[in-house]
Amino acid sequence: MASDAQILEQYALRPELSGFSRYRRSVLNFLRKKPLGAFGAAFILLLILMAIAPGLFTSANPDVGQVRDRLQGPSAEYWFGTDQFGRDIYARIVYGARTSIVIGILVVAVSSTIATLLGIFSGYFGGWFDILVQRLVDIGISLPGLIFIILVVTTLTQFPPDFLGLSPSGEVVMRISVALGVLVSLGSSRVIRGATIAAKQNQYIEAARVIGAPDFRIVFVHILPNVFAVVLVGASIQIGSAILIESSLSFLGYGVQPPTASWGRMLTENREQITRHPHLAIFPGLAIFLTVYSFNMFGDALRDVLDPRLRTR
Amino acid sequence: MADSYWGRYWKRKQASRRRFLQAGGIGAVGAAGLALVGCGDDDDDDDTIQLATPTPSGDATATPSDPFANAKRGGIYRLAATGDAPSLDPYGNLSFLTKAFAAYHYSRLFKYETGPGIHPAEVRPTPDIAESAEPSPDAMQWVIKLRPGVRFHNVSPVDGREVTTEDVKFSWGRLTAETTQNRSQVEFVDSVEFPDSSTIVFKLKTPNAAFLDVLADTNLLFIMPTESDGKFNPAQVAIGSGPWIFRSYEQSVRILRDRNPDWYMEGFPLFDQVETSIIPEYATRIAQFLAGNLDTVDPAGEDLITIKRQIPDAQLESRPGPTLSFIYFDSLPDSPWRDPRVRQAISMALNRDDLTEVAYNVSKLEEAGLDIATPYHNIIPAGETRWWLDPLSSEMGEGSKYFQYDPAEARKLLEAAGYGDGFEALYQYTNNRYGKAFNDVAELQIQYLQELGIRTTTEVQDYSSKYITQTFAGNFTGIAFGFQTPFPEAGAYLVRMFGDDPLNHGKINDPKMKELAYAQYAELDEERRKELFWEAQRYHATQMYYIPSQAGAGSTWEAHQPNLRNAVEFRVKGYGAGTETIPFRWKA
Amino acid sequence: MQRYAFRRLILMVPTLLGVTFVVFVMVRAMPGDVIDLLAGDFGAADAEAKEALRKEFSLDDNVVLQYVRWLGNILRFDFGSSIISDRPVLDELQNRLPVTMELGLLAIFFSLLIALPVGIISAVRQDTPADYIGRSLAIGLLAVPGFWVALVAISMASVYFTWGVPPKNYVKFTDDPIGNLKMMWFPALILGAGLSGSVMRFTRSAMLEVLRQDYIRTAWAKGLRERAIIVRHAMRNALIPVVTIVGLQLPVVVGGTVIIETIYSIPGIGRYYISAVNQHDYPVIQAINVLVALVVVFANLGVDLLYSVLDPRIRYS
Repeated sequence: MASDAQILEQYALRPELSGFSRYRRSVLNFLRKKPLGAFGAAFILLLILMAIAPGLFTSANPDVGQVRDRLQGPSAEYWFGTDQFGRDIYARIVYGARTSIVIGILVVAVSSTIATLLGIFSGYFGGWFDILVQRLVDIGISLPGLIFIILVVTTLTQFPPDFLGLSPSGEVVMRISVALGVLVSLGSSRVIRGATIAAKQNQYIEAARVIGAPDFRIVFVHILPNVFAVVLVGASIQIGSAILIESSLSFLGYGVQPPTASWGRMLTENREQITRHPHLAIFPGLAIFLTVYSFNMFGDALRDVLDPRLRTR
Repeated sequence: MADSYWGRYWKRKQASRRRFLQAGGIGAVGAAGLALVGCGDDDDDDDTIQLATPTPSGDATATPSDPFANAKRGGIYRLAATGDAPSLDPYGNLSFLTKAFAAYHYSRLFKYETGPGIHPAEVRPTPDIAESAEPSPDAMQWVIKLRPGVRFHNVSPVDGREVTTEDVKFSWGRLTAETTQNRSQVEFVDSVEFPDSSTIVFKLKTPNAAFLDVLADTNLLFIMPTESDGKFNPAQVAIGSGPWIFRSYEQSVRILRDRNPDWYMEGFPLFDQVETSIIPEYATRIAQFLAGNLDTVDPAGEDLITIKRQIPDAQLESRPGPTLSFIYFDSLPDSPWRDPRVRQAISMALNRDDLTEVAYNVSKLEEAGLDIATPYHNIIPAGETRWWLDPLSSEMGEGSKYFQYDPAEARKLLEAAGYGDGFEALYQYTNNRYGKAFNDVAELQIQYLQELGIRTTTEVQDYSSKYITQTFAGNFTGIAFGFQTPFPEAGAYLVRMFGDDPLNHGKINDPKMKELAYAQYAELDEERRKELFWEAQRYHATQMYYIPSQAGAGSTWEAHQPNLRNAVEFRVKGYGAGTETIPFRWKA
Repeated sequence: MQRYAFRRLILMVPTLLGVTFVVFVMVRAMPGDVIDLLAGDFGAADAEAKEALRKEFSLDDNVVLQYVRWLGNILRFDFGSSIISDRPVLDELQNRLPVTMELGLLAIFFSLLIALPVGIISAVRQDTPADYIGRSLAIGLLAVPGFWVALVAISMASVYFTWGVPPKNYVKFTDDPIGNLKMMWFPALILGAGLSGSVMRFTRSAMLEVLRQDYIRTAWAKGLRERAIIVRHAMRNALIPVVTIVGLQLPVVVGGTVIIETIYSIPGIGRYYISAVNQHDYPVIQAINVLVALVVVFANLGVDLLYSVLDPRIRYS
């Protein structure tokens, strides 16, 4: 004889759990159903930890090395080998996580903010405002991406080196992130606008308007939650793209500057020596790969979970 | 022109070769044993005609083996360039790509003499389309005579006519035009006169012992036909009197040039065609060389080992450090480096061996059995072997110790100057122009400065927008690091860095240095001139106005396929290879 | 539909005008001056030479005048000449644009080749190992920077398998189709692999959505075999949004080929553009931006129109 709980479960009526147990159930479900996403989430947590407290992972100095130890392969002393200055590559990867995560988060923060504002207001209010904004977005999209970034980054160097009061590497990171964020936001704004228009069709919006709710309230209380899922999923994937674009910028010479450790720079600065010292390129490449992979998988899993239309049959 | 052993040797070669080639490879004996193959295909090997003759009397020393023995004509020489020539007009752009391109098709009055036994850093000017040059006793006036019978390429609209002084006058006009960016290099010329169609008279404002080098400088006077002003567009087509005729230029793909059968050096070039492929990525160039698609390539560092391993008979040649890297300082009156002890301390804080190691992979190359020279730059770069004084040698005097790595002593000097606690400074350089070795050295120096106690903030600058317009011209604060322009003639280093040149980066105004800088130009005797250079380097080391570093001090290499001939024997510095070495190469 | 298309064409005009304006301003706002670059080492302190150069290129005129003059010129298809090389920009574009377009089309072809099967299978077998492997593959491909793969491939090829070294010189497709493809297929594959990730994801989610529709459930109920359902019903509908995404990728590819073109010595627009940006070659930068904008805007319009043709539910008023 099935217990009450089991019967209820069959009918998808979950018994009420509260607080911690509920979260634990969700997490366990997530782990079970979306193993790739779970792996992604775990790796992301690891990265965030690395970014916040690199000292936990390594005691070596990423910026200074022994020249006599240069270009060695992995060994007991240097887990990932050394670079052309004799610096510990493992340490540089750990500290590089900070650069990558910061860039990723900043880009996404800037991009999501701009895209959400643009998309929602454009989609919700429509009319002339919409047409105008969409033309501007068109213009932005028409400019070739990588080049647009370079143009913006070099233009931002117009500002004095200590404009924001950060360290020089912080300045550069800020500028690259802002440029990238602006660029990425344009495409996203289209998507959000689409989602807003779709959400606008719902009857409860009309109902809310009828009873006199101000636009502001409608947008924040009704539209935004609908759009939120789209934003979140897009954001998680964009972090990966941001990191990749940063490494392309480094290849072209415009990325983060020395002596800051950045995976993108590590990948490109030694490209002439890859055949003889493959470890120089393998580890940063692996780091970028795992990071982008994790963010993407996590984003996919999020979308699958949040979008009711996509749940497993 | 040069009355040296090699000058005479060269003249003899030209004379006898001309006779041989006129007779089509069969003919009477020349002054020294020469043998040439008659006709051209690579696989046609049986037409060798050996004419061994005893060397003429009067030469007690043995002549070196003939570089043209069994020389085969024909075939294509395949090279790579790192980028598109921004303009084909020699006066259209200062880029070395433009100048190197021009050197294939246009002649100069003088060029550099190359050949077996002539080290690329020791090349001297020899007549190109000039025939002779006579200086006045005070070196303020030079009379140049044009070689008779030199013709432009037989290409419309110039159609192979003779070169006259009208063309030289026109070209000089282009060199000194207002829009020509480097005309300041010839400002010392007061006037140029053309008494007849084959004589040119240069009158100088100040004497210049290196005047012929100025005429041989690929950055300066190329002789263009007057038709280039209107009848054809020199930015897209090149018609000159050089050894190669311009055939085609597929943008970003390759340049094709055909040999000029009417070149004044009869019988040369030996190749029928030169193909220069545009391959911007270094790894791709090396890959193409290893696959046998290129005959010559520019490897660096450990690729030399890869090449040796994969093509054991590849020919590798190197030449010593051609470009001077140096640290320089702002000219503000309150800066810490007004005190020479601070500058000396900084120089002693640099571990030049490690800097060289980082830039040139010395230990790995030595392990593989390659012979690497690792000289230290002085204020004259190590590549200028005629004038450079080895900082570690005994002739260097008391300044030598500032080139040694001695961080303890450096700290003491800093303390003595009153900066025992160090100081803050901005450290700036450009990282998108000079390549990886330079960037690495620049980065490593940060470490040494910080170890000395200088708390540096690094500013990496964009070359075109900040570095070349401001920092390089002396408008900056703090410490800067960069390359000096690689001058073809060493005197220019002293004048620019210590003279009244607006590009005097540190605004140095030391009377003794200035005097030495200008005196060496007036000194025609080479021994005495060298002594002036040495004195300048000796004295400068005690002051360390600029601190020479090691980027650019190691050797630059070229690798050639095993079947290429005269690549290692004929070498030159600078960008004139199109005229000075490539016509003499051939493939076995 | 015609009215919609017409309206879009009209709206294109302000967009393009806006692009020209933005580009003109941005290019001059970039720090650094093409004249300084031309003056180089020697002319760095020679103010006279710089003035003369400025006059020669009409850069000392009033900025508005320069803009108007340039705008008038491009409307007559006169894109001017490069400041650095004095070669007419239009000639260069005529030579280079087709090359990059070919690279782009090949890349899109490869990306579809990878993304479509993987996306469809991933959707049909959601949350099974096939799904995981497929998705990992596609995301894996996009997670590795393309230039890194290219460099490793070339370096390894040169040392370990020299037959793998790409041909040295580019040959035009019209001259030698086989030779041309031999040179282009590997770079196109690398680019396509990078693009396939997002197309795959899109295909998967479109497919997932379609598979939950009622008419699919009806087909199941009718007893149709799985393959029939997928191929005849689901795919056709799922692929419509995919078409739009592919159409939108074409301009992205044009901008993103720079690095691959550099590594493989392909004479395309990307390389030309980046060297113009590095050298502040205003006419070239402006011309290319305008051209690419044109391509993008037309591609967008084309995709939207195609979308309405393919999906009868979409009707533009």
